[in-house]
Amino acid sequence: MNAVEFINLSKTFRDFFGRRRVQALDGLSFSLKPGEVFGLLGPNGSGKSTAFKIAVGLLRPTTGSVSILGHKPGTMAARRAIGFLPEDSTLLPFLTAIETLKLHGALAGLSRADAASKAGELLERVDLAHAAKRRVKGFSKGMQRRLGIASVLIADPDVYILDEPTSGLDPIGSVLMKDLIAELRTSGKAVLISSHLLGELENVCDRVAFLNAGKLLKEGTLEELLRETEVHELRVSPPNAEAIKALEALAREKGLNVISSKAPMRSLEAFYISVLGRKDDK
Amino acid sequence: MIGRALAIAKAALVEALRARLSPLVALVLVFAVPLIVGFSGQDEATKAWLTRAATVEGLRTVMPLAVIIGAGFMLKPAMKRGWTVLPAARSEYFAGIALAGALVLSLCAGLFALGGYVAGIAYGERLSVTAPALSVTRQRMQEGQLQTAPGREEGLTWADPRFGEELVFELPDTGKQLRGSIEFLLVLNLQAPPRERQPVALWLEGPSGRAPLITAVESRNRMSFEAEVAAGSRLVVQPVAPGLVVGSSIERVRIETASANALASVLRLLFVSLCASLLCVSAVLLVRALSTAPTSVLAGLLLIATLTMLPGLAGSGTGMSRALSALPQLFPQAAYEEFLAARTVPDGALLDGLWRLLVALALLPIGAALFKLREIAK
Repeated sequence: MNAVEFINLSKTFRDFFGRRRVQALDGLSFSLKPGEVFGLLGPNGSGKSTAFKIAVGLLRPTTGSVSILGHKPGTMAARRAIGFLPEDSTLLPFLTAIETLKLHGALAGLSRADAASKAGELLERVDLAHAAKRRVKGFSKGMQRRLGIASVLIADPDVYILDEPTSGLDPIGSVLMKDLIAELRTSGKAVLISSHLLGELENVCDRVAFLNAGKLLKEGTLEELLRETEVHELRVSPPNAEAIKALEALAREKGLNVISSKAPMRSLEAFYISVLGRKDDK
Repeated sequence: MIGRALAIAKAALVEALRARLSPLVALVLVFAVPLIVGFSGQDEATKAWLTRAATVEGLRTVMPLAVIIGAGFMLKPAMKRGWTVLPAARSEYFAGIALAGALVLSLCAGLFALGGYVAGIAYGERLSVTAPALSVTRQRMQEGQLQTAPGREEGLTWADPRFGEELVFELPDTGKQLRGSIEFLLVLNLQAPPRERQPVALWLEGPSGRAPLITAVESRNRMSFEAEVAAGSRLVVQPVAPGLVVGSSIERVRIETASANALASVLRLLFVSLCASLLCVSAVLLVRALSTAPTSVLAGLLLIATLTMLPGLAGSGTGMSRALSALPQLFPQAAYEEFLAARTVPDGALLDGLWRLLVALALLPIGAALFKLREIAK
């Protein structure tokens, strides 16, 4: 069974007099299976958030349907199956971090003791144990984001819907989030993500879909969509200049066109982490 | 479902209590009545009256207005406020917020009433426990003959001054000292305009004849009286303004039989005010389920106007006027009037409050069902 299935989904926003104002989604169809990470890409206003809101039951579709593990959005079964992290932080400002997680635990049906122990574990996991008794109001955006993901994790749902999960996170927080998503995939959870940051999705998604003006333009695995068939990249180690020259000469001899041959550069994110370490020191 | 609603209510309560202004609001509520009375009261009698008046007006006028405005902003459907994206059903959020709102309201009202009670101890006087008159008779002298007619057991008995009519009330035994009050209604007899400020004279008719009472005009329609009394004495109410027919009833003549501490009365007023205010909360939440905060506040104000002012404004005519007068008042005035007159609030106030509470509870599931239909786009 598919974990999430969007079937010919359309959503039209109308004004007070019933006149059509915005066609946010137009015949959107895709699905994802358990253990799969699916990325939804598109510019602002492309309909990503609208699709998510329909999936979690905040909006109703104009036509079409959504199924969450076979359940209709908004029902109790669907609600229990989904962990939703909205784009903006939506935490209650006067609760402390531990109280926030206990609240989510209670809403997920955990006993008081289970909720407390799981809350402690999750705060460690998202590196907020030191701020357990601080009110959310005083948290930075990154801390709120990490607490947000912890509050989603406490219920241990089967489907995760993460709207811009790395928004507001520093590179280390961003890596932490990607590690968490990878763990979710390993444990057989279905993860639906949206992001403007293409590099973020590239590292974690199995499949992606491109959305514009509410329509699905392209969908497939990263391998299918991104593989370049006209070029080939070969990396060697250690970088021996003489051997590399010989390799280039051999390639030309075999009729290949050598486009580039240079020492690769690390990504800025990898360099940042090598300088500051993986742990966020606040 | 109940567990999740309670968890949400607890979180909402914590959020409300930890808000920056909460301690200040609590202090203002506790000290409101003592400060008003302390600064405004001039003599002991004024302070005693002001204590009762401030407590009553706080509970029946200020509280519902504050509650309606507060209730309009209690539900937070916007996603960014966080509540509607919690992993709970919309109806659970609605119920949890209503419960938290009721608890905050009860706490605030309790603090205010506590201030009123403390002020009552400091400045007020004990409330009187009263009993109604035993019976009423209408009598007049006609050609040297005393004519009598039994008055009505329920409703008003009228005395017309053009025929020298009087109302005579049999009183309960209170020993040697009599203290009490009478409320009367007036109807203008168009044959002559009223000339007297005080349209009735009160007499005490005993074995030794009629004696005047020591009276005080408490309001346009109420006078208090006191006197030494002999067994079997009766109260005589004599209309003295030729243009005004005067009516009263057994229930409107109250004779003081004992005095009591104000605590039970304040608690009864608190209960009835809370229940009526909770009805306002339910009504506002019901509208808020599908509309904006200002719209729901406006609806709440209309409810108050309808169930407070219109029944009072309506006359005894026909059609719409009669329909309006049949509307139940949101805040049952009798309980407040008793307290204002320094009398204990009767038990009936509890039943009045209970009815309002039941209506409030009945509105909640409707509001929760409507809130489920709401789409949350932002």
